[in-house]
Amino acid sequence: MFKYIVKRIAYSVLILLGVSLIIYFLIRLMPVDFIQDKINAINQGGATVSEETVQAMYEMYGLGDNSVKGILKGYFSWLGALAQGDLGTSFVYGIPVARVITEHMGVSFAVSLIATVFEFLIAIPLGITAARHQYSLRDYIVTILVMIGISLPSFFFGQMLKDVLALKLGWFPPSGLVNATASYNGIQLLLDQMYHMFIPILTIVILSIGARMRMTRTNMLEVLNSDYIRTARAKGLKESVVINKHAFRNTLIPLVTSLAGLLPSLFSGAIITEQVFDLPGIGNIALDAMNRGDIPFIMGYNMFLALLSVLGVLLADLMYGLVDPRVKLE
Amino acid sequence: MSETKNTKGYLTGKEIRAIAKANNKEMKRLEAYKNRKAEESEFLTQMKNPENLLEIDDLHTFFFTEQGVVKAVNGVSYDVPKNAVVGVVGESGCGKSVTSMSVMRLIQGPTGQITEGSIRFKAYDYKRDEKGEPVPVEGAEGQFQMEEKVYDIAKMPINEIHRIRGKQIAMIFQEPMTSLNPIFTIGEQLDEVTMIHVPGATKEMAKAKSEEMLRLVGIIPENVYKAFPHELSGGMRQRVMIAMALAAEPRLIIADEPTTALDVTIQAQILDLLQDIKKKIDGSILLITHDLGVIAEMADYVVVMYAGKVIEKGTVLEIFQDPRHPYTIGLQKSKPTMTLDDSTELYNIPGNVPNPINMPDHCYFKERCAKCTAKCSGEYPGMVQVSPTHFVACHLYNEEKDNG
Repeated sequence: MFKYIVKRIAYSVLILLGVSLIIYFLIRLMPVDFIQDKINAINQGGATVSEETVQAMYEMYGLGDNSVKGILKGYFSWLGALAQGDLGTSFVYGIPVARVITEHMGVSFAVSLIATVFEFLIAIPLGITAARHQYSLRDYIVTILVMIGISLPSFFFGQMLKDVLALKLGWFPPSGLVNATASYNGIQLLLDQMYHMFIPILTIVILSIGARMRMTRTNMLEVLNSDYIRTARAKGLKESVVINKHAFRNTLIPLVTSLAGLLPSLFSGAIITEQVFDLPGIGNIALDAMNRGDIPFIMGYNMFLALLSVLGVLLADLMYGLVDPRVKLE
Repeated sequence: MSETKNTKGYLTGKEIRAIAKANNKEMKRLEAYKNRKAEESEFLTQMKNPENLLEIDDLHTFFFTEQGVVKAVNGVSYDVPKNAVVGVVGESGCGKSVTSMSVMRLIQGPTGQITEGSIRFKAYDYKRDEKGEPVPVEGAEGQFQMEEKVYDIAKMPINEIHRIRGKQIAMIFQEPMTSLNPIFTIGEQLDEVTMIHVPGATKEMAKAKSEEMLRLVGIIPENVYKAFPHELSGGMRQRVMIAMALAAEPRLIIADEPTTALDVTIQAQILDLLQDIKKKIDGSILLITHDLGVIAEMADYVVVMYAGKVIEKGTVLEIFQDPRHPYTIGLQKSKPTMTLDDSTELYNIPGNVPNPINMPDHCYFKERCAKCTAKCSGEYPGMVQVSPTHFVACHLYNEEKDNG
C-alpha cells in the first residue's frame, strides 16, 4: 500500500511537470499582453513612454523574447523559482501569488463545500426514490425538476434568484460578502458572510443536483436489478434492509469515488456565480487575471488545481480500495 | 391488451397507446393489491390435499410489456408433496422459472404481476401473539411454540412475504457468480439468515449456525467464513448459496437451474450435494431445470411445461417410460445417448415456440406436432388423467377416453 502511494506520487510529479510546461506555453501564446495594456493606460493618461522603457519593461517581466527558446527560458526560470517554493509575484496585484490565492480561497471554498454537502444530501435520497419507483409519477416529477435545474444557465438562474429573493422580496443581500456599512468581527462577521452566501449556494446546489441525482438513480437501478439483491430479498429481509444495507452500500461505491474527484472543484471557485453575486472568490480573480495576462498568477492558480486534480485521482483510487473489497491496490 | 390481429408486422402508434393505457390500469390495480395492508385471515386458507406441502392452482403470471401482455405463466397447476423432489422441465422461456419466482413473490413489479390463481403453502411457523411477537415455550429458554398454517402466497400483501421467504421456502439461483453481494463477507451474508429468522438470535448463535451449514455443504468454515464472494470459485459460491438456503431450515427449497452455470464436474458435485441434503432435511425440493438427466436422477415427480402451461405431469417413471404428450416424447427423443451412431443426426422437434404475445387459442404445440389431428384446431386441450398420478394435456388422449 505504502509502496503504491509512493509510486503514484512519483508519477504525479512527472504529470505536473508536463502540465506546467503546456500551460506556460499556452499562456505565452495567448493574445493578451500585460505590458502593452499597462503602457496603453499610461498613454491614455497623457504621458508618452519611450521605446526603450517599453523594452526594459518587457525584459523586467521576463517577456522580452517570444521565440521558443525565450519561452523555454522563461519557463525554466519560473520552474527554478517554484523549486525554491516561490510561485512568483502577481503582475496585477504586486504581491506574491501564494498570498493572492490564500486570501481569496476561503470564500470560494466555503461556498463550494457547503454547496457540495447539500448537493449530496439532497441528490442521493432523490436518486434512490426515483430508482425505487422507476417510471412512476414520482420518478417523472423528480427527473423533470432536476432536468430543469441542469438546463438553467447559472448566469440566468443566479440573476433570477437574486432578482426575486434579494431585490423583490428583500430577504437576502443581493451581492458582496459582508455588509459594507457594518463593522463586526468574530461570530457576527461569520453569520453575515453566511447570510450573503445563501443565494450563491442555493444557485449552485439547484444547478448541480441534477447530475448527481441521475448518477445515483442509474447506479441504484443497476444494483436493484442485480442478482444479489434478489438473493437478499429471497432470504426474507425486509425491503427497507434490502435497500438501505445491501443496495445502498453498493450504490455508494461510485458515489464515494466521485466525491474524491470533486477535490479540485472545491477550490477552483465558481467563476460565473461569483461574477453574478460579486463575491471576492478565487474564480472571479482567476477570470480577471486571465483577461489581463497575469502570467505568474495564472500559472500558480492552474498548477494548484492540477495538483489537486492529481491528488483527487489518487484519493479516488485509495477510496476504491477502501469501499470495494474486490479492489486491491498494489 | 391489444386483441387486434395485426398483419403489418409492427404496432401502430395508436395500438401502442392502447396497450400502454390498458397495461397502466391493470398494473396500477395489481400493484395496489400487492401493497395493501391485510389481516392475516385474508390470506389463510386450507390445503386441498393435506399430504401436499405446496399447491400451485391455476396460476397466471403476466408481464405487461410495451408490445402487449406476455402470459409467461398461463394457468399452471401442480403440487409438491411432503418430502418429495419435484422436477420441472421445459425449454427456455416456458415459464418454469417465473412459476418459482411467483412462489417466492420475486416477480419484478410493476411490469410482472400475478394476476390470478392461488399458491397454497403449508407453513410451519412460530406461534405469534396479538403483537406479532413469538410465544415462548414455558420453562424452556430460547424456544418458541410452533404451529402449522396454510398461507395463500398469491394473496399475501408484499409486506407480509418475509414470513415465507428464507424461513419457509428458500431458493438457490442459477447464477452463483453474481448471486452473492460482493461487498459483504460470506459470514456476514450467512449470519443474516439466522439473525432475521430466529427470534432472539445472537451473533454467536448465527455464526455457529453458519459454520454448521458450511460444513454440511462440504466447506471448511475457517477458510471461507471471512472471505469475500470474489475470492471463491463458482462451485464454492453455489455451495455457499445452498448453505444459505438451508440456514433457516426451510420446508421447501426451490433450486432454479442450480447447475446450469457450472462446469460438468462441479455440476456432478452439486447434484451429489443436493441428493445428500435431500436425505438430511425434512422437506421438499422443487428442482427447475432443462436437463432431463438431472431430473431422472433427482426427481420423484416431473412436471413438463411448454409455453406457460403444464402439458404433462406424473411420477418420474411415468414420464420417462410412458411419455404421452408429443412434446414430452420429442424431448426424450432429442436426448443424446452413448449408443448413438456418429452418422445419425440427433432428433430435434421441428419449428419454434409461438410468440408469447397473442398466443393462439388452440393447442400451442399444434404447429410443431407430428400427431396433430383435426381436433387440435379446436380449443386448448384440458388435462386428461391417464393414471392416478399421470396427467396430460393433449386431444389424443381425450379421444381415447371418449371412445371407452
